[in-house]
Amino acid sequence: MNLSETGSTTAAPAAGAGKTRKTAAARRIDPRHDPRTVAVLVLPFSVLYVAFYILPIAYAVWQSLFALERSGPMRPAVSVFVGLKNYASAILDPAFHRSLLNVLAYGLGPSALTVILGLVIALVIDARPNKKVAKLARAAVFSPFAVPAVVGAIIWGFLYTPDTSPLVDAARSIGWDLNPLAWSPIWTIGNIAMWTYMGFNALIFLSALAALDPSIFESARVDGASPLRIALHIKIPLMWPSIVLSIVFNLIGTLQLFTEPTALRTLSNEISSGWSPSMLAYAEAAANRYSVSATLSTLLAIVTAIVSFALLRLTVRKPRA
Amino acid sequence: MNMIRKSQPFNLVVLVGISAYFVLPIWWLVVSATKTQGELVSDAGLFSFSTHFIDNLIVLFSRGNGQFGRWLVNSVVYAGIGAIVGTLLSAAVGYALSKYEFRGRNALFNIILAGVLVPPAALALPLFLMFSQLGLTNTIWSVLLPSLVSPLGVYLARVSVDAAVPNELLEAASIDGASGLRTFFAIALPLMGPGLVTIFLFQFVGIWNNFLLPLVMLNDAWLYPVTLGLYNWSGGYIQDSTLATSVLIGSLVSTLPVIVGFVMLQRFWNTGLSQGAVKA
Repeated sequence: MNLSETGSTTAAPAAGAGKTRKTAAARRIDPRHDPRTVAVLVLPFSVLYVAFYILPIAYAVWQSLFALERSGPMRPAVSVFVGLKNYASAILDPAFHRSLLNVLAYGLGPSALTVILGLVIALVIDARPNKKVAKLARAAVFSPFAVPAVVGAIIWGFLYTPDTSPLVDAARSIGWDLNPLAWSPIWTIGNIAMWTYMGFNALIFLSALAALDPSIFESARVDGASPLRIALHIKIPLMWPSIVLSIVFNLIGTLQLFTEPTALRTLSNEISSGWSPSMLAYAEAAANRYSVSATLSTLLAIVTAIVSFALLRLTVRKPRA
Repeated sequence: MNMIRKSQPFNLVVLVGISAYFVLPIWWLVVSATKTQGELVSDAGLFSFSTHFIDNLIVLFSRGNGQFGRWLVNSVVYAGIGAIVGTLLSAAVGYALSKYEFRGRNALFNIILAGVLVPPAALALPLFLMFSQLGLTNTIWSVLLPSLVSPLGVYLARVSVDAAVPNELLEAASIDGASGLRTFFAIALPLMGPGLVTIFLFQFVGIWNNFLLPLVMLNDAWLYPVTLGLYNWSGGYIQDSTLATSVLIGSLVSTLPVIVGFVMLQRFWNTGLSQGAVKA
């Protein structure tokens, strides 16, 4: 590639620079201590990380402590420090409660199924009835992960709409009057997300399965344990770290649920503009209520951090217990 | 042995059934892209190919002064540049974390790792507020710059360096007088091959599929990535029913290359991902 080319053209100056470096290295002996190189390697990312991860969070926290207030009916609105008042009103807001309940139901339903069925799929593929079939199934299961959530919602939107759906056609031909668009959004949205992410979860599990030492369950097999028992009692306990990892990923996905419901909203009346907490935060920002939006964003980040940190703690403890 | 053989036909049926659920919607998209607006409704079958693929493609690229082509280019720019630069940045930090000793190394790693748990949705709106203070919303930078940072990429890079770059090689390079940076570019990066492909692919797909950030940042339709463009079109079926055919074939055109690329590079990212899984 280009790398070797530039390497050879810059060989002379690099060798010159190497000489000074060599004396420095000789003085310190250990090449693992080199603050200047570390700085060059670490700084560019760190600056961007501070700018686009840490600052926005700090800025949201700061914004959430202010509110627009008018001192009189004809006066312009000014930003006033209100302390934690925005949090108090967000926590008491019924719209926020509704969005949290939606996300909670989603987490216990489709999101949990994504992990459980992803695990089942991985175990079935790993059992390898036929190498070629297993390889194809692996590619098939994973392929929706490359489909943008917006496009996934567009495709399933058509498949939910009776006029354009082969599924509804098929159901009607056997006398089942199907109208998925009238179903609970938990499941119309959930199906799209399961379709997109289940394969990714299965892939994490497959990697974990591939890393297991086969001799462990070989002896169980010789002792007459069924494949199901081997899966339940040997494979799954050994896969525990990657199962928790996948739960954490799904949890983060659940709490920030935005794209699928937003895209499906153009078709379904069942989904309100503040259906999920992220949608609510977006709607507040779109209505120029920035401090409310910042409050919701901060709450979302705090809840996510607490829950996923607690879950990750669990993983670290579990295998050692 | 008997048990295993008995469970095999069952497994096979399960596998085919599962695969159908995942593949059929994509297959339906391919079939539908060949249909006219009328045929979408009158003949919704899964195998009823029609003959209007090329017509639909022409309409797709000529609609709205060639908006769609522009959106594709934008997505390639955002995802391509974002993922290439992002991968390099992640690789550099991951390498430093793995191979160098410096003050604050563990703290740095933990702070970056915490970033994996920060939901992008919680970042997008504050980023918008920040960028609007700077007057930078509705620019390429507002989408490109935040996309460069991938904490997960740093984690994967570190794991990949741990696994693929032996310390002895770096010591030898240092004895031969190679500078730290030169060792990184000429020795470590090539050795990280599969790991880099994994980081690049996941970041590329992440940016390509991103929706919230461009939705929040961009007003000008000429700056839209393809996801946001398709979303905007899909809101207009009611006013213009011919949009449906364009949305469908547009979805296909914007998605198929990514799926094919991903599946074809499978053997690379499988290695990269399994390194991460073993470590985790």
